[in-house]
Amino acid sequence: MRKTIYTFLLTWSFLALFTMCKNPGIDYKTFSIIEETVQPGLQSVLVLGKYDFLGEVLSMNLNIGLDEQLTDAKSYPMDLENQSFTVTVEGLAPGTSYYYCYVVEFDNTHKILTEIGTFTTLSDVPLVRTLDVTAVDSITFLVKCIVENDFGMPIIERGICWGLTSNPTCDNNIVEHPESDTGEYYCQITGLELNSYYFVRAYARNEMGLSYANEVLGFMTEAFEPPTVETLSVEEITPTSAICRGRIVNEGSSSVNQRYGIHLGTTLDFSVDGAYYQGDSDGDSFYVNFTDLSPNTIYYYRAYANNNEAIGYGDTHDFTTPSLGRFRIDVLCSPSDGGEASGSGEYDYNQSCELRATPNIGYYFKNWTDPAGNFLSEDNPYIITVINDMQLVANFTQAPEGGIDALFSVGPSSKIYFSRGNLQYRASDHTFQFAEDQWVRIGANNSNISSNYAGWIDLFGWGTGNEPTNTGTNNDFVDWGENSIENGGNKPGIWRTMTKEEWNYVMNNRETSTIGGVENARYAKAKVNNVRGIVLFPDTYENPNEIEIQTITINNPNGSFDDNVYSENQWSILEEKGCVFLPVTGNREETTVQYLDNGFYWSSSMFGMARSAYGLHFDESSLQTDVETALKIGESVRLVHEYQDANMRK
Amino acid sequence: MFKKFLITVLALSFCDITFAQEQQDQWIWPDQHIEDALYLHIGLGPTIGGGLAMATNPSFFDYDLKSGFAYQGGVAFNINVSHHSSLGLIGIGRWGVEIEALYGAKSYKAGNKTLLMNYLEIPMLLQFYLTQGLLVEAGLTPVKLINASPNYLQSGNVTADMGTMKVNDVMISAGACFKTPFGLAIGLRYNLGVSEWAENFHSKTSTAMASISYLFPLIK
Repeated sequence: MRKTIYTFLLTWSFLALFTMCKNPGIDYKTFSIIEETVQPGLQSVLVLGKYDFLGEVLSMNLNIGLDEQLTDAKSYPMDLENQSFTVTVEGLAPGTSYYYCYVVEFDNTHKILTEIGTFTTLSDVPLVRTLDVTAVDSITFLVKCIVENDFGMPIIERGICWGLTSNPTCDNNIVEHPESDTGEYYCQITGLELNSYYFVRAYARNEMGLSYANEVLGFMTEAFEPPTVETLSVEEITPTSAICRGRIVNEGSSSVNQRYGIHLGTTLDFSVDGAYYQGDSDGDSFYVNFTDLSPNTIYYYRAYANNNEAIGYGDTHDFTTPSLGRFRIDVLCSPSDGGEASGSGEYDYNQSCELRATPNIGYYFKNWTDPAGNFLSEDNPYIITVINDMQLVANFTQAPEGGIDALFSVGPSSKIYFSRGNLQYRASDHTFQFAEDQWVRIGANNSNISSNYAGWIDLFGWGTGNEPTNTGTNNDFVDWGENSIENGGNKPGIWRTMTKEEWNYVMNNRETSTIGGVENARYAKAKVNNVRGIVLFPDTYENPNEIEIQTITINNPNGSFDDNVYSENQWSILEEKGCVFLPVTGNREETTVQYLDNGFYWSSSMFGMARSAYGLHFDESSLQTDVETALKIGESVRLVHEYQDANMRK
Repeated sequence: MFKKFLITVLALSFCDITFAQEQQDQWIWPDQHIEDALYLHIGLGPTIGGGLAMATNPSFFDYDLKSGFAYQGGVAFNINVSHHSSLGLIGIGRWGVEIEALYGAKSYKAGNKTLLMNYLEIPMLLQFYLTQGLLVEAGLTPVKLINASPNYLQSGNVTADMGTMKVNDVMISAGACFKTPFGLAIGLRYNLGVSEWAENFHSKTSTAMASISYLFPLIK
């Protein structure tokens, strides 16, 4: 029995050893935000996300404040569902940085605050900054600013405001920048008081309102003002002499008296060999006649004036004295078979040289340029004074005067030049001319048509080249191009009207360049200088980078005029590339002008034996090259000139 | 650990049985009425009980565990060895052993939640009879946690994942019991847990239980 008890106790002793063993640890999990999206709006923010937590969350609030420590925070309860949270907070200020955190409450005694984050609401007014102020002179300062963001609302005004108080507004003094856009800009403040401290800041305005830069910069004007001087151009340069001029714009804070002239040297750094030369008065300006200069030398000069307190300088200019001796003039032709040019040879310094360009048959003289293509003159002959070696190029073109220098195919082997504008006629002195600009049309004034009308008309009955104020008939088509056109070479027979087939080839068949991935780009509807019409691209064309053409409108008879809108300046770039613009013109029935939003252009092709002919017609939703119209109707005329290549001329 | 524990218990019990068999030639069965012979009483029957479950609070989490109701049920196995009475009566010996296999549930108040932990318990107690019906008992009660609900306890932004808790404990048990001659027994017992629930959850269990059981005599 006793052994049984011992055995029992021994058993329990072993069991007691197990009590020394420790149970393994368990997992603890803490609350954490695993997903978060903060979407600021103009005056609101949407915050949503997900959290990871095994337990229960009693509530979750979003605290938002302007203070980095959230001492001014307001609390917004969040919607909780399936460990997701969301809240939309309204009533925030646009364009403002806010701080936020989450307040998570687990029970009545436990809550935590998450780390503080930040967001910035969108702004409806522009975001503008004042970057820098630099002194131009003692009372003139240049302010560098930037419109960093227009938030999708076009800028309608930007500039700077300045004043003597520390927070200048537009109620003080403003300098408005001439351009309204985003990006950096500079404004200059002039006419400030001497020895004063000013404040300046940038501003910008869009349709939603006015905004100021946060940065207000200060600057101090000088205690005194030197004279303001302008350096004028140099005159009468010879190998050893030149006359340099300057002008006193403002004497500054005290009188200049007679202390003005020219500062002259041979390096940009006037401290090397610059010297002051007293000037002689000449009306509003002054000058110095230098007579002992060195030939073939670069001189730098600037006007100066000195008042009792300071010296003022104008901008630095330079000139080069020519060499002594003879100079070589070379005259080239472009293209080489376009004609001949005379005047090449050696000339003495200051000798007059006459250059003359003679075009070959089929060519017309265009202008004179240097070898780099820089324009020099349209005169022919062109008389120059030789002061150094020069190369000049006589440029020829097959486009006649009044033509656009770009080729358009009107058939498989025929090309033409378009005239520079629609044909116009003045009955009182029987004068023809091309419109000054391609978008020009007479419009409603065509109703004044009469045999002695002193104004211009541009809507003609078909084939009325002999008498443009007559009604068209089917008996005698007289091409308007048989007349002398004042700004179109002023000789009869240079120009002609296209046939129906040629209009069709130009619009629908010719092989042309690719624009924006669209092969054989021939035309696009557009609005030029606020006039609707058709832009024709020449056979060979490279679209300039600064001009955007909507590809959907290319070769699209249904395209909208409003998809391609070009200013006068933008059109001049396209025109330089050879583009032709056919404006909408309307048509005329007797003295009634109608359909002013439509384009009507005659062809020379009559429709059968009836009293009608074909023409080009386009409007907002169509473009047709073979529209049949009664001969009596007045339509536009766009003349062309035949191109003949060198082989054909031979 | 619990498996090792059971293997050890079985091994030691086997030793005990072997030892008892070695003594078998000295055993006299009760119906032989032989003076100074050993009598072996063995009972087996159901037992149920209820009482109070208590747990110490973990030191670094504010879980605020409070006592709750506990209940248990299972099978009790009792052995009592005695000498023949000089009066010729078949009496009860001074010493006995009680082994039970119980399913126990303990509940605790944890904040506004009730934590319910279900255990397998095997009390193994040495009994000493003060009188023929009244005895005191002491021993060890190995327990193993079967499951717990809810599956987490929360204190603020921290949750303890109760699903990862694996509790094995050997409780120190002591109590008293009154047995009637016809097999009904009523007992009071206190169990003191000595192991923490987890090395990072420093709670220990103790229970105060009242039980009632009925033991059918297998050998009298």
